[in-house]
Amino acid sequence: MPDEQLLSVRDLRISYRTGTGEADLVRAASFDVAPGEIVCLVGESGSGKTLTGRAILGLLHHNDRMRVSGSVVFGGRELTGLPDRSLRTVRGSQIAMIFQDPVAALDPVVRVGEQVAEAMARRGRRRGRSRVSGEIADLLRRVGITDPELRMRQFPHEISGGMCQRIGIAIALAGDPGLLVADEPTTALDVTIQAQVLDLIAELRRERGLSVLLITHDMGVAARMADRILVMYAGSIVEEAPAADFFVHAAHPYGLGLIRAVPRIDIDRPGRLSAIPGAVPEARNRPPGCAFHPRCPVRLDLCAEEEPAPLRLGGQLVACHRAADMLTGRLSLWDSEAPVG
Amino acid sequence: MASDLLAATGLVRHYRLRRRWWRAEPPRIVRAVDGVNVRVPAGTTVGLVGESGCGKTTLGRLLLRLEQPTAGEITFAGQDWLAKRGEQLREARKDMQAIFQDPLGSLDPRATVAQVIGEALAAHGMEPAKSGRADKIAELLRSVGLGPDVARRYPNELSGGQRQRVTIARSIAVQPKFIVCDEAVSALDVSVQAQIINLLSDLQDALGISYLFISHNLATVRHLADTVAVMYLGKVVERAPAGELFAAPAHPYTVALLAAVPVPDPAAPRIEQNLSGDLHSATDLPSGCRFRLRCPRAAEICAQVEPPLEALSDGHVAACHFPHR
Repeated sequence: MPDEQLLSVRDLRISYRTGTGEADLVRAASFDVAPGEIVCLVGESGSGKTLTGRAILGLLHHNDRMRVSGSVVFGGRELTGLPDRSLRTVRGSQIAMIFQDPVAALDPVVRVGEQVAEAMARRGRRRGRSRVSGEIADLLRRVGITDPELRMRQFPHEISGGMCQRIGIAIALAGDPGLLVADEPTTALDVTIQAQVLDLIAELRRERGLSVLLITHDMGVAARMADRILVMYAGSIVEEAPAADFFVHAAHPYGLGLIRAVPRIDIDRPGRLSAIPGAVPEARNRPPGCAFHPRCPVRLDLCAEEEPAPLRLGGQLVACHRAADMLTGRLSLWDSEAPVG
Repeated sequence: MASDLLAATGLVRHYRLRRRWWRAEPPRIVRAVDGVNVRVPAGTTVGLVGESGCGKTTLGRLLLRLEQPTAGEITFAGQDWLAKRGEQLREARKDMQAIFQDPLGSLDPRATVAQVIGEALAAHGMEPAKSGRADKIAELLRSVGLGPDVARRYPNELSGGQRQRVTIARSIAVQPKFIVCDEAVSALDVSVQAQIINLLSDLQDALGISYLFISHNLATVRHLADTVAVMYLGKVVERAPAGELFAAPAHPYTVALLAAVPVPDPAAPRIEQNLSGDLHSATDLPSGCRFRLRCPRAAEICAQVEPPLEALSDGHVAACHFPHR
């Protein structure tokens, strides 16, 4: 059913040349996003989530140090290798992106209304001045901005972070895209404002059938939003699962570790959190075999030698030698924290 | 009370915005902290939560004497903390340390970990004899879960979690009684965050340190705090033992804050109680209750009378005309 997918990424590889050799930042990532689906890409910092998002929009450029290969097909059209000119028509009108720091994403010396107008004009919606300003106001109202006529005349520093993110969403939606790549869109916002922005994204999906690739490190956000989860570790997608399955029985020890490490507000759980010992390895110091094995509580000798191939188990796709045991045997993880060095 | 390590009463910190000569109106005042009482019993953790701009960081800085309060009193370890000056204050600061959000920003990029910790010891005249120095530093590093080899390294060679462990080692090096942790785990990845939370609670058990744990993340606060205070626009609007605050929040702001936290379980029941709007500006506060413009329960009285903090049960206070019960 690949033709049902809106976005298909195959064997995406991003590597970076260092003084001593080549380091893979993203290694053969493959995944799909269906129309109207919210897919969450989760993992710790340095796992390659943001690079993956940027690569989809063709925002990474080949140069002497960075190499991008693989295939990104959007709506049946191959995007990799397209000249920048053609990519520019894809960006915004087919795929749009919003970023973590909503204030930095806007031009500080241009009134927000003009920034939205510019986005509309670029997507070929140039009209008479008064009609444009009416349209902008409608769009801003649609993303939950009260008093849009006033806001349009303000500069980014005059409005709050949450409102800047709504403006960012308005700019992203100005071209009526099919896919929104949202890179940690609520990480810089307060929880109350985060809840508002997440609700807005969910609403837009419901109403417009918007697909969303939501990049987040927050498992709470992922649980609230996702239809499907992609777990990334050290540049590889180590687990892919429907959200309903993932949060009940994650099959990769890393995925399960991430869920368990989160302090829960809804459960009184005195005592220690189940931390994952150690930290994400740097790309140039990638451990052999399974990249997670030095931190893994259920590793086998095999894990240090052979990189596990993705294995399909029910609805889940897992790259772990112990995935089957994880699902059936309920291996015990992190009862106590191992020392870190 | 005798068992309180720290008690602050009526703390106020106002910032006067610069007056423009061409403007007729009087200078505006930012009421960052506007009459707050804090009590930290020895050996416990007080959690302080609220949205950005609510004054929680300023409150921490007032306690640390990084800022001078406009009004109020602070008693620390049985002494008048605000009366301390000069050399006396410098000596007393040994007992009160701080850990901040950005560990890289709190470490000198050109000093090795051993130098960083050695400097803290030297500043308080606790420097061990040269022969014992390496052992002392290795012991401190071990107590925060780091190997002795870390001592020779520079901050840029360490991961975020290791750096935060180093700032913790530096803080506990001088054997403080009290540590202000201002968003100490907010910049860390979730797996590392859990490691640091566990470390802080182990250190408390081992050394009897008290914490003021300032965070916007209610879930981490729930995990660490014995008592939780919720701040809104410069005031504490609710304070309760942690278990009670999370089980039976009384102030509508607390209820909304709790409901807004996403839970890593798609099957968890969701309470639809999103707050509309943003935090109001701290320069021109609304009349009456500060929260009324965003409050789902606001009534006429809320615009007229500012609700005082009232006891609902033992140790549980809230400032609301219509608290949830």
